[in-house]
Amino acid sequence: MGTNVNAHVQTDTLLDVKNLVVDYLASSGTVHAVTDVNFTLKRGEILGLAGESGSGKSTLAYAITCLLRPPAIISGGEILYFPRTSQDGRDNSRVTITRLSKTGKSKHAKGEGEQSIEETKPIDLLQLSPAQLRDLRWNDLAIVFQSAMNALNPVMTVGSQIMDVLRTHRPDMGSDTRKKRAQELFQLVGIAPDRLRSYPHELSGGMRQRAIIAIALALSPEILIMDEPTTALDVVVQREILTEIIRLREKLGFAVIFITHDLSLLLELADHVAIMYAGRIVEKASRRDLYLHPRHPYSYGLLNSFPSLHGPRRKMAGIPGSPPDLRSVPPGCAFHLRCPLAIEVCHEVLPSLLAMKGEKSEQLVACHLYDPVYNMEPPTTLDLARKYEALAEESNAG
Amino acid sequence: MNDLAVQLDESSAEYHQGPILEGVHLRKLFPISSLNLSATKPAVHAVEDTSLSLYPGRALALVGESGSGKTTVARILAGLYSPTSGIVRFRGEPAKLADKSYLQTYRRNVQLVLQDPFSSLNPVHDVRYILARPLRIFNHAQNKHQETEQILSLLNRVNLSPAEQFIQKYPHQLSGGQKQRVSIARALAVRPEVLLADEPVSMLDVSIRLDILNLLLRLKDEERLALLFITHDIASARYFAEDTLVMYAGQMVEGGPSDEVIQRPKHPYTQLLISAAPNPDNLHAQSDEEVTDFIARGEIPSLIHPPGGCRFHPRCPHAMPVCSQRFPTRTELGGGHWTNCFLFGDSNK
Amino acid sequence: MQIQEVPRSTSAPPVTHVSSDSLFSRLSGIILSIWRAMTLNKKVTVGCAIVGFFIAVGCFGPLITPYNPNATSHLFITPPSATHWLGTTVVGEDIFSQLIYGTRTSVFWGLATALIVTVLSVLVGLVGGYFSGLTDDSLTLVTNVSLVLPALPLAIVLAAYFPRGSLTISMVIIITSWAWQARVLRSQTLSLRSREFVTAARVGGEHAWRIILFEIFPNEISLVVAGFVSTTIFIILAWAALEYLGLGDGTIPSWGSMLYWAQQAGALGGGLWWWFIPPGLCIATFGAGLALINFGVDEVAGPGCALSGQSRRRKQGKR
Repeated sequence: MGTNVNAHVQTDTLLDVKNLVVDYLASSGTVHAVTDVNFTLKRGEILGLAGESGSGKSTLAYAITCLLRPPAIISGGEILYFPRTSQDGRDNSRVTITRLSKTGKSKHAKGEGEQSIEETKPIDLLQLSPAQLRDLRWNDLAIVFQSAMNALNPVMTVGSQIMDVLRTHRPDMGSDTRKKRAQELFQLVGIAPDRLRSYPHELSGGMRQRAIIAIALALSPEILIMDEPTTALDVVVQREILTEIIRLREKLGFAVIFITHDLSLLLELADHVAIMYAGRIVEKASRRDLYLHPRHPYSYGLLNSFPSLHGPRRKMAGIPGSPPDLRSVPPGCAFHLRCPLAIEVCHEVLPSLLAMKGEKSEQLVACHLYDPVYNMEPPTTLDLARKYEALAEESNAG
Repeated sequence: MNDLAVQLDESSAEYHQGPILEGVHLRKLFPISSLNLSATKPAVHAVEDTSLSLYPGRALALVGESGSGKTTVARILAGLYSPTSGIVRFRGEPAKLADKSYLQTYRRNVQLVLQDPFSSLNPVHDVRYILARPLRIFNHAQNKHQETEQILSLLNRVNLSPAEQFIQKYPHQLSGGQKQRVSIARALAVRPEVLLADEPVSMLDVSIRLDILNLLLRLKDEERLALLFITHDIASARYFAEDTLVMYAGQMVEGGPSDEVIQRPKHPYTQLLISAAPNPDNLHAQSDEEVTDFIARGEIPSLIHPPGGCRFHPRCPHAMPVCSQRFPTRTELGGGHWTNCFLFGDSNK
Repeated sequence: MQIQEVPRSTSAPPVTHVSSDSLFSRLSGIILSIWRAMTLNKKVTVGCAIVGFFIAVGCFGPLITPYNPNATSHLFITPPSATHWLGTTVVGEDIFSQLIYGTRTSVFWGLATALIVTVLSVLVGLVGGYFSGLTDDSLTLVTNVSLVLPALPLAIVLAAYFPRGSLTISMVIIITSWAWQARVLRSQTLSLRSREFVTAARVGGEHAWRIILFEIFPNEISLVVAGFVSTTIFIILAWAALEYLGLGDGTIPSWGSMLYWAQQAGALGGGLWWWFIPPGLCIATFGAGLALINFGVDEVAGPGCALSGQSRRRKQGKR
């Protein structure tokens, strides 16, 4: 089916999130948990989302998978998913796409045009019915939650839990094939296939996390969303899981949205990193750019919140204050109260995510300091460092 | 900037005074109730033969993963668990922790800050109550007026200002960082000489961790507190403490001055721990096909039936037959740096 | 680990803030929070109104009753009329007066007994849960034994053995009904004991009894109140049952003893509905009022509350 798709329609973009707004409806008024978030995810890319508690990063993950439940609602924006066409040669997702496009996106294209042309059109996840979403969720888009390790059913063997997923989503698969597939998956994530018969409590934390990843990969999804997948694990196990994710990504070519509060992890893992603060993306850059010259004062502060293993020992200063309460986000730039470089305009005007003038880099930053309208001389990384150092001296004295 | 180095020299005077709190050959088993009446009762071998010393004005970091026994050590030192064998020495004297009245005076000097600020403050009490209790128990405040004054000064010391506002707040009105500051203030209210901090920042937001660490560092310097800093993050151990002790599955594997231990790790486990820690500085060297020569081989073993000898041997790339037979004795590597590993010699040989 | 703090989205109002300055403001704060608790939910409000009404009748009713409840008269078995609002008994006692006095006895003894049962179970539950080892083991043993004993039959046997009277019934009910709540509280205490604030209090040098009373107990208040309410329902019913069986003191009017005498006089067969319906209705209404309070509190405090019914609820996938 659909083998005659034009190759040129095929883009690199896999997921395009546009102006996404997620609100929590509370009795005291609406709270914007995620505001005007834009990003694109390319095929096979690892995108890191970093932020502290209340930055909206987990809400964003739930929103992308349409798993939000009231009182949280998506009140604006689009989440466009560009399904892979069958030309790429992966037959797993083909079933879904055709099914989806038949029932889902046919509103404006009803009865006209070929099915195959339609397939290349993006799907807006927010327009899908619950049944279509359910279909999409395992087949094209899998999610691993923070507490996923404990989400395994304690009275079922992990093997039967994997096979359950396969049975539900691939009803045409025979029981032998299912079993083979489960063994394959376990091997893939580095667990001996004979552990399929183990119950969750017989596996260590790291193995359980691997099993969860195996389940998430069961239907070869295009996108894997991981919300703090390693936070509950020890450093050594965390390292193993990360290595595993990188390895699997290279092998299977899925894209990852990796959400964590630990920026230093992302700098090793992700291709691109977006930093969130108070529900907005404040900086978006490749990991190298971010590491070498973070632009936003918050990014710099976050990067320098991690004591380093090497180099001279020096006094460091954290970011003063605490993350904002989303119920009362300060006006203007939400960070200005904690920012050591804040200027007058930061208190009033909301900065938007822009590239620096006359620069080709993809590094986008939402900060007035880099906008020639407000500040003629954008600060260098050294300036940022100096301001934070002054802060450190201050706290040293006081 | 160079403060830390200066502090090292300053505090070396104290170093020769002798430790204020010591754990000597501490061992702790937690028996498990089982239906099997025969033979020996199974037990969790949480801590084996651990010795450590705390000095006034110095910090010792105890590094290990979960299940390494680091929290158990802290709780033994805090008088919450009694060790199965070994003794705790306070100011050179063995501490009689079973004696209730002694325990009270011991607690007057040794305090514990817990990991989880979200559950370490009772939701039904306000900040005033939480801080007033230790003041009253240890007779630091004679009347209501003194009490209020001292609470306000405690809140100021942990950088919670305006203190007048915080004094009447309930835990649910505080952010995570503020809660941890209240916890620290509660420990300080007792006016201890030793502060045991059990992962004081691991539950907090990244951007406020440093603030809390700096606060503890300041208190250490200003009040000559002896600090035990328990952490799973070896980088923060280096930042925070003069000395570092690495534990694995209840056994001490390596220790010494933090920079020595972290820059030149000798024990294979310490090396593993350091190579596993997230380190953005790697970006300099690595290209995209990095992935270090990282070998992990499994996880911390069950402590009910731990492997014999050195408990790291099943995962150790350099394991020798002797490693599974007995635990190596301490090898001094010079400069206070030591390790328990056969690779570096064994005095019993 | 990270704690998701901010979207604390449910509509729960913040705890009323009480400044600790003066006794007056503290008191008014408490009254305010009680008022809030009562008006939180329609069921709670209705339940509180019903229970409040019965308590008021019990307190002040006897001041306005037209007759002495035990005074006989020559008006035997008259149906309700202007002089005798609920008619009279076979010996000419005024049923309305009896009902008012009966309300006083039943409600007073019911609540008092429930209070004692609750105190007893709180003591056993908290002490057993907090102290492990021999204390806990022996208390658990006693609790389990009395849980296994069939309550009502045992109560009947005991009540028949001891001299008749309200005190006997009260004692019998206390003995047979404390264990259930003690067990609930013990397990709650066990889980609270391992919370870090208890550890912190121990390190801070607090005495065990202070930890139990001031750190653990305040966190169990809602459970204790719920237990008290349902215990009261059980006690009112058990009390009526024992008295109906003739194990009470028949000379004192109460809902149960009224039913006993009505049954003795064959009121049921004789069609004397004004004799047995009012006390029966009182028992049912009072019990319903208490039950409403409990249901209401459950709805407010329990999970999956209020907002679940709202629109646009997307059905969840498998995970």
